[in-house]
Amino acid sequence: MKTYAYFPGCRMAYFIPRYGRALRAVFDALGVTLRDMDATCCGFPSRHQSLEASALSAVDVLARAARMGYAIMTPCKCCFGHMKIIQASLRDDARLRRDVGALARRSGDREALDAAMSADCRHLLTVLARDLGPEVIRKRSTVSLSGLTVAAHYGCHALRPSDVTCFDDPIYPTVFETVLEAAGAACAPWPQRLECCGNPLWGKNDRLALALMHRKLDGAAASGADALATACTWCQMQFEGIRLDERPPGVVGTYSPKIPSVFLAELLGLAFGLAPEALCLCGDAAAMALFSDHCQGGRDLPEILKHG
Amino acid sequence: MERKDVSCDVLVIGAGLAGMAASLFALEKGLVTAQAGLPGETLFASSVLDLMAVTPIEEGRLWEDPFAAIAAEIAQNPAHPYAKVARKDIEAAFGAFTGFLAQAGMPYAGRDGRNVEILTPVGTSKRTYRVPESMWKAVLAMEEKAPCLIVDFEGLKGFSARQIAETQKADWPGLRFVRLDFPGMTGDLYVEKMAFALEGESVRQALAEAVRPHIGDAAYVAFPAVLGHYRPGKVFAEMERLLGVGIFEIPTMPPGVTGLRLKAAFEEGLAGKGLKSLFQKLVLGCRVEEDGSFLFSMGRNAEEFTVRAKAAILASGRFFGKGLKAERELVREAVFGLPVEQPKGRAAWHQKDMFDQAGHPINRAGIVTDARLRPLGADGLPAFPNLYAAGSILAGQDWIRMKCGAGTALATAYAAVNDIAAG
Amino acid sequence: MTVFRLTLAIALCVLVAGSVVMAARWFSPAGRRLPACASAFGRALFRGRFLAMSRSLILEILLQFHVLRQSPVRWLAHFAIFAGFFGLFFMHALEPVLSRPYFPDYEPTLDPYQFLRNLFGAMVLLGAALALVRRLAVGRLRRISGPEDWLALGLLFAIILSGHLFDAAKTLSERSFDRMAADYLPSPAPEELEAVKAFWAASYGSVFETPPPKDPQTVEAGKELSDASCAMCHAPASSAFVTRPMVLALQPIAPEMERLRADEWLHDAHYLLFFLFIAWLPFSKFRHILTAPVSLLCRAAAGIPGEAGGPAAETRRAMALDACVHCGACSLVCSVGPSYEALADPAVLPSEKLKSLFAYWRGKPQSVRDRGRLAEGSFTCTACYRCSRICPCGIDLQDLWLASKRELNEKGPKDPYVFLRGRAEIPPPPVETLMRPRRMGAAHLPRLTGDPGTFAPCVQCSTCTSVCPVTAALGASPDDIDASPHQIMNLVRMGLRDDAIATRMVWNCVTCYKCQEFCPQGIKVADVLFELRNLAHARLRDVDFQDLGDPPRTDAATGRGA
Repeated sequence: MKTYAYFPGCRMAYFIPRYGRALRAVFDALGVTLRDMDATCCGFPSRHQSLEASALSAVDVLARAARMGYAIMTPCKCCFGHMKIIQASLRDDARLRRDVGALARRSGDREALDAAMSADCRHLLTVLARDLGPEVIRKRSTVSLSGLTVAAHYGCHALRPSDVTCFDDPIYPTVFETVLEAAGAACAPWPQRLECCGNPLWGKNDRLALALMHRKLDGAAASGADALATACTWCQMQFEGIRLDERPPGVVGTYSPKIPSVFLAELLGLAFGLAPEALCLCGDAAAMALFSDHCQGGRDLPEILKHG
Repeated sequence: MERKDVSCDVLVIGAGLAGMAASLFALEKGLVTAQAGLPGETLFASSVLDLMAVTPIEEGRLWEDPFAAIAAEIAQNPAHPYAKVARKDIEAAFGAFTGFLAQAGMPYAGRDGRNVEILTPVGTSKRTYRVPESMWKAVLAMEEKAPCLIVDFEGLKGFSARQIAETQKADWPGLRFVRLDFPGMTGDLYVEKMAFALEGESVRQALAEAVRPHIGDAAYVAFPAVLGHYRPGKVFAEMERLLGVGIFEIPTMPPGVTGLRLKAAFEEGLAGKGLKSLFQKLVLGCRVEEDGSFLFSMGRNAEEFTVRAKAAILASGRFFGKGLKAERELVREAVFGLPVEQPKGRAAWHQKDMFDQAGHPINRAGIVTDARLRPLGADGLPAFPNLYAAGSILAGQDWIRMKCGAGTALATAYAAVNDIAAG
Repeated sequence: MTVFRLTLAIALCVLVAGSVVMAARWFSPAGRRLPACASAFGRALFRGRFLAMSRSLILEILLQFHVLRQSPVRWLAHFAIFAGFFGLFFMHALEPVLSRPYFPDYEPTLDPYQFLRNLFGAMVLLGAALALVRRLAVGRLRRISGPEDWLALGLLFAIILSGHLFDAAKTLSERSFDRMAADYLPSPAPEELEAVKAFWAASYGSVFETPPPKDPQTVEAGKELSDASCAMCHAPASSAFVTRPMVLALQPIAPEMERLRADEWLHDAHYLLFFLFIAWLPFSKFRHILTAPVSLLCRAAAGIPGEAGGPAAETRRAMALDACVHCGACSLVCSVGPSYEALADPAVLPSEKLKSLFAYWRGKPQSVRDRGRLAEGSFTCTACYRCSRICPCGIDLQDLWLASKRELNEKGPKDPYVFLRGRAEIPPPPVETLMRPRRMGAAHLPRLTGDPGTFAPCVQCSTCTSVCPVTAALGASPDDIDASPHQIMNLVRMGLRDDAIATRMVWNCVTCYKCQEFCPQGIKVADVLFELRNLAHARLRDVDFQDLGDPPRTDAATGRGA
């Protein structure tokens, strides 16, 4: 039985807790154990401020996982990318190694750097597509999603810089489509699938953040997709309209886009035939509407979806 | 961190045209192939494939038959890499290569055994051997000297329709030009963004609307090469349908969309053929194992993994590709430290006149090989029995002036792979 | 006694006045907030939150089980203090109004009351000692502990110790003995008095100027007399298990204490310390005795997370500032703790940010540096929600941060990022700043941007710009793109790093890494942009945020609230 150190990242707990629950339900169904980590910040949000500070956070998370003896699994692209970048930077940059090592020692952890370097960080998609493999997902999928065309949003920080993240081919990545197609969904040809969602500029330049997002959404809608699939907390928050300086908006975001976005775990959970309660879908009106619209036609979808 | 050591029949070092071609040919021969290097240089490709057009370059003599040009060059300069490849192999290499690109959505056109002529972004004409289909009508238009409208855009640097028309005026009076605003963009324009925008139907229609009033008697409409990035075939066909006349692309100043398309076609197509792509990784060191195979130390800065390869093809390019490193007085080969054929001393690198038609001696610097394209060591014998070199790193050619870059890359890659597969 | 009564009256007045002022702050403007709070409370009661509130009252407020789950040591320390202190308060301090009227046999020197007094005292002392050790032993807790934390612990120790010492001094004192003997042994024979003294010296440890005889017969005789006259009010010394060892330890200096009338001033000290406690309560962390239960009940009533807006939420926020006991639980779990370790900005930690916000919201004067740190700390927060979930006082810290971030960006000091984005240049730091040792080593010095090798291969081909999604959004936001990525690379290459930092493009980068991925020359374009922002932030810290307190520059692009 596979086991991972589960690192949800900072946003999940408050802003979209239902994704965390859906993710756990899906991994339970796959027979994968997720061990909780006593850490929630990978350091990415403070990378603008100070590489050293952000590296110290990443080292803390990585070292914890290494000491637990499991690879990290994170559903957040930014966490994944940042931890990869910090591992590479620590390897290549003696000055960073020295300064961050000194900070770690000050906090009382002398072996943190070595432990962090030995840690293995993986993203949700790579775990699904590579560690487990599409065959496992295909076998576990009992409900066909074949009515559904999905635009896979790749997110930036897992994909690039590809020489550091080693996530997938940076030009023609396939992991996301591999997972979605294994679950029975069709993938829309979406030229902007590798572009930025705009989230990193929220609170800093809202106008640009929105412009970038709309550019993507227009393309997704034009590609014929019924929904956008995300595999990153930040991207999902962006498309759902959850603002960082706001309360969690309850069932849906403050912004109603022309195309709904759903978290990969929700799609998989549905394909696995898990109860919507377990997936916390009932709180996600957009997802509910989507699934009841597109996944009908006699397939044995849970009743609750058909009636909303 | 995970470490994935790789084992293969051949490691291709370099990710330019020669490297990509070598990987393609090796995969097609059924060899287990890995490829390392920085693929970014392909962005600078105009995507036309030269074979041989100018020799001797001192005289600037243009050839219509590239194979005759090759024969003339070899007679005068036996060190040219073409001397080591048979004509049938060159033709086979082009066939295999353009066949692959056609499958990857970039079909090519040309005339067997004949060079064709296209327009450049500065208005000169250029002889080449194979052109993407999106540029083929340029060849026809130029041959017919047909009435033609060249479109350029406000804010797009390095591409002037007016300059092209003015330069060609004497030979081709039917060339007209028009400068338009690109739909939805202002300020400085960047070709990648224009190409991306044109994938959207509304932008295509707006552009067609803007062009239509200027078509007049033109039989062809020419655009800078921005007609689509991911789906150029579709964008091209749609524009042609909307305008109702033949259209063609003129390459832009590098880096351009043409290079992006080529790079994408390589990366996607080769991955589909089973290439172990190690792009962005460099060879940091190399050891020869007891059985004669190479054990390469790979990584970006420090060793991240190793590659065990029965043979290797060095296609790391010259200076821009970083296959050759120019130090103060000496040019060195970057990966193996192979001897580099070069002018004696820095003073002899260049001619007095920067635009000297004969070119500069440094532009012929490179690696000398035996007849099987194996680089020679200091003792004049192959440095390794299983190391080959291909492409612009080879000595004895000035590909920019001879217009033989793509041909040299394809031909030598093909020959090197054949030798590996045979042996 | 009148002096004591007067002091007590003053202390009580201060307590009441302080509490009223505090409550007034929560509910003003009363016209808006009071009805909202009342209706919120009513809603909570009648919409099924009553159970949650009762649960909170018993499990959280009285038993503090939520602390036990988080940290058994902290629970032990706090619960010992809580139970011991309230035991003493109700049984001992409120003796005239509670113990005596309701327990007719009550006598502080009789068991079980004497035992209970010692037990409660011991609990407070043990709890306070544990708390002290914990504060000293946990590094981060030690660093954030301030004078108020140490003073509060000291006052607890002082009140309890002075009580026990007074008890011991009285037992030791001959004058006390004589006074009691005069009252309860009317006209004893001299040998009888000697016998009682002998018994008290032997069994209670009293010390006399002329030591009484120690022979068993005299002591036995004294015991009989004592049983007859004293035992109705004096339990055996053994149940005073805190005072008793003190008596024994102090015997050698008993004559000196007697000379200095130690029993009298220890008595006064004990009372005055307690009055001080009463008066200081609404102004110190002790106010949590009043505010934490209210805050916990509010949390139970509102649920987590509670309502985001409206007057009731404002009241909760105001209350939160007073409910914090500065226990540091939030700061120990804060997910950006490493940023605090690196930046050495205490306002990164929730407990310290709350203190700073207290000053900010209550209009207390703050230095430019502290305001800057408040902004830095506020926007370093990643809103992970851990502090809210752990707060033993039921403060919805996350809600505070969301509200304060909004306000800071509107009224300043702004998010340093937003500030830097709209700023042409930051003044150079004073030389002595540059010379001082740095916690973060060389973080303020360039790495990529200072190395000519970084840009040596750049041919200004503009691939980075061509693939940049931000420059592609130019049509949507023309003022935001003043330089393209390849131009910024060129600026830095030419040594014009400050000019590069002053461009908006550096601050509008979405960090998608396309530029770096596509650069044919392998230049780390995105990493360079990150580094420029790092350097600007470091410079801002070096000048102690001297400009962050400025009125915000109009920044149309941010469009907050628009």
